[in-house]
Amino acid sequence: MSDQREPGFPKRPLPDDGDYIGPLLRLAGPREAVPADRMRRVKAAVRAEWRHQTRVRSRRIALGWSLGVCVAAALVLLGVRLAVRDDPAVQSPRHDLATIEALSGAVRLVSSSERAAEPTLFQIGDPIREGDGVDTTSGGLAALRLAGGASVRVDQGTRLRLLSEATLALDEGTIYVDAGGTRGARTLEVRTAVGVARDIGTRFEVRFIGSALRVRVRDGLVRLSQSRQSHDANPGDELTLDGNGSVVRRTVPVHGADWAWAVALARPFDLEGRSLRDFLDWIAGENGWQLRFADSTVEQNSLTTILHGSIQGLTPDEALSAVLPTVGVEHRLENGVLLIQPSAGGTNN
Amino acid sequence: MSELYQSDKAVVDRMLGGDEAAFEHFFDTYFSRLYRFAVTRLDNDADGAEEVVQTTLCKAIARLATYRGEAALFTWLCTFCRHEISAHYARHQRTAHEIPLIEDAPDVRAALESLGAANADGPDERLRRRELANLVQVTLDCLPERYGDALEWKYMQELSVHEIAARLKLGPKAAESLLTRARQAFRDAFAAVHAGAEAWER
Repeated sequence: MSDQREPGFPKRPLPDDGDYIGPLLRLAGPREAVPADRMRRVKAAVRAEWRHQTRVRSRRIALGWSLGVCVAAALVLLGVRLAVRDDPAVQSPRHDLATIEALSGAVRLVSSSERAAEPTLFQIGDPIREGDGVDTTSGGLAALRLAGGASVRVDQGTRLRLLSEATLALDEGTIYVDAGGTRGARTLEVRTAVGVARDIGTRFEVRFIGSALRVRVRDGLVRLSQSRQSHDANPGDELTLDGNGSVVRRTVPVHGADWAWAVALARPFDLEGRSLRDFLDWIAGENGWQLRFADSTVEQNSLTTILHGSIQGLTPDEALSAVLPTVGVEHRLENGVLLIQPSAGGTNN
Repeated sequence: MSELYQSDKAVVDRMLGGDEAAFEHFFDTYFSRLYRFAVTRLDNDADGAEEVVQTTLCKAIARLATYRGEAALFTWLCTFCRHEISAHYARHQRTAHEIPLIEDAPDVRAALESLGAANADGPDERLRRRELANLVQVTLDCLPERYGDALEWKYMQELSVHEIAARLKLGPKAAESLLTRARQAFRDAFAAVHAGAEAWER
């Protein structure tokens, strides 16, 4: 049987003139196109990984140059140190209390040293020493990792100093603290001119602008003290304290746009080799969402499903959209509840 | 380093420098080809292929500085992809199926034999035609960038040289030249397959 459109393929050997290419390609048909949604998901994840790697590489290159300079500087310092080692005016070095984990815009060093004449801009990875701090009044944002493990995120328009491992001085502006349960029983203290906020294993925001101190609590407990009075704030509470001692309490959501600036400064989650449950706990915690599973099977599977790839550079929504379809589940977000359920077109196994 | 691989290396160098256009070019050039590479080796498991290709590309990007242009970038990416496919099977505690691959001599032979049987209409012949179709598509994916697209546009969509030139953002002469090179590359690839099949028979 012969079909006019069916090519008559040559017996071997193949002809040299290439005339068979057209019939051969028509027989094979077009190559399978990859569904657009798959391509979009993978592209978002791969782009994020590429950007992350580019940033890491830039820092390494900068570090490489810096090392050369540092070696030279170290030799000079060694000479200076030998010259002044017996000088009683030389004080013991101050401790590093935190590290700059993320930056956006210009973030200046607030130095306790009177000798610091020029403003210094921070770079990622820079340490912050005892008594020093950060200044974002020119529009920057910063995330600090305290030596004890807590995350402190600094909003625009803020001056914050680190007095000790567990004591911060908020001169003005807004910070978000995620104690993360990493400091054991040690209480973190945020001091302002109006009062002091002390956390008891929690996540909270402190804003001190003008003469008003405002504390919003996402989870755990924060105790706000002024003179001899103290007020406890629970999850969803907002307390505002003014210089005259008056307190206003109201309820605020623990998720949504008001917290977005702090979420944007969260340390990226390292997806590779982690369980789906770890990822969901992280993203729910960072966004103030309650995590729920459609059933116990989905929850159990989340513990054993191991993830691969990267979500760096993605927003929470993009991260969920990139990760969940690859493991057969989907999400619904309503009123701060993140519900994980089997995807409509697949199985969660 | 061949001229071809120098252009691959140039793309990689631009990506290492943070060039967004280079990333776009890289992804658009290799994603679909890698996906098809993976999906045929994963028993047409589309979700698995997506996972494997995403991991492949992320890991390759993390090692991008080690690409020295000594092989085609696609070949280099396929090395990562093969590893991820094996890891995928291991994670799911499955044994890899025997998937027909262009470089597997028995499959090359079967596909070439189907060249002479393509007009027949029995079940065996239909299977062989499918194998041949896969082989042609894999060959197109293995050709240098844009060659496969240009051949598809020319022979399947029957676009004119001017239309192809417009899609490639080239002048008509440059497009004609690219088509000539694409045809030659396809002929060479099939000649290599042919030689491989004959060697296997001996």
